[in-house]
Amino acid sequence: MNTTARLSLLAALLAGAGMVSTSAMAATAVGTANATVLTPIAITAGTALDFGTFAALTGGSVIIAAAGGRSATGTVFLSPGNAGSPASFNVTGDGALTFAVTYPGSFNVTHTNTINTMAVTVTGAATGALVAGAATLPVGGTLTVASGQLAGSYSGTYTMTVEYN
Amino acid sequence: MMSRAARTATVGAGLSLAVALTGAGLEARAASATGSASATVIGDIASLPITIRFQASPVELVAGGVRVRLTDDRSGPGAGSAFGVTLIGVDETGLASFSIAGATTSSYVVRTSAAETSGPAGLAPDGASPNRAEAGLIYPAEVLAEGQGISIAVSQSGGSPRELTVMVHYN
Repeated sequence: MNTTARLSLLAALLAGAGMVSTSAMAATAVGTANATVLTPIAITAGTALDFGTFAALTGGSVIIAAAGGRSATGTVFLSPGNAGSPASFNVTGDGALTFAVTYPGSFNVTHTNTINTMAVTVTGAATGALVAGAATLPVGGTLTVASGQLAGSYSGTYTMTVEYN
Repeated sequence: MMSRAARTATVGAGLSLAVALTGAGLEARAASATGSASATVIGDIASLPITIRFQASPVELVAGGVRVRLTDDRSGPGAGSAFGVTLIGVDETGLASFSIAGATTSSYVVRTSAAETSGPAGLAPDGASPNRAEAGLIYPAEVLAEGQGISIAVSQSGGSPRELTVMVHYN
């Protein structure tokens, strides 16, 4: 084999070795990426929490059950003229997800004179579940009535929070 | 090639985006709403109850086989018009009438003691038939003009002296 032939053979071997080396050192594959965007949870106030009409006498408490119904402790005298009602909140969100409910601490309802108050605590379920993206959250409460509580109308506000579990 | 300043800006933008996404996530996971609560307290002018004693005098009525004996016992402190309630009389059916004093147009409620009456009783504004109800009934708060009265029907079986306490509250 002459010199020219030897060089040609060497070049061919090098070229072949290079091609083999390239395919063995790298590879590719197709992966997938998924994401689910939840519908944000939302809550809006429905009916108000109403403790109804009563006489304080020497005091006690008025209790509105979340499921409905009113009762009293102490000497508080309930008038059936306005039996009160629980509150309701409307929760919307994603599908059938569940959520936790955070109730506020004690808050006050205040007489129209802006001076006299009564303490309120609200209660209800600790969790809820959406059905087709919606749920109604009933809320009851306990109103503490002092002896000789000043007659008149009292009102106040409170904040309810829901969060996906 | 990206300069140092450009890289810093890029990293900063990335952090901002991450923070923004985190904030959006929190907002999507939780929500709050403000509700309202209310109550109505009725005043109490009859701080001491009028006690009507079922005894032999001065009123004794028998109607429909039911014997009703009433005595207006207001001899204690607070007696008289200061009570806000005046016993007008008792008719032959056992319907005792009271007047409410001191208020203009007002809401009021009346409570009778449960343990001290037996059989049905009822309350109604003047001129109306009392609703029949269990003893210890409550009359719903309604508007009552000054000078108007309410009627209280009381039935009692047996002849032993009993007491009926009537308390009136209004605002």
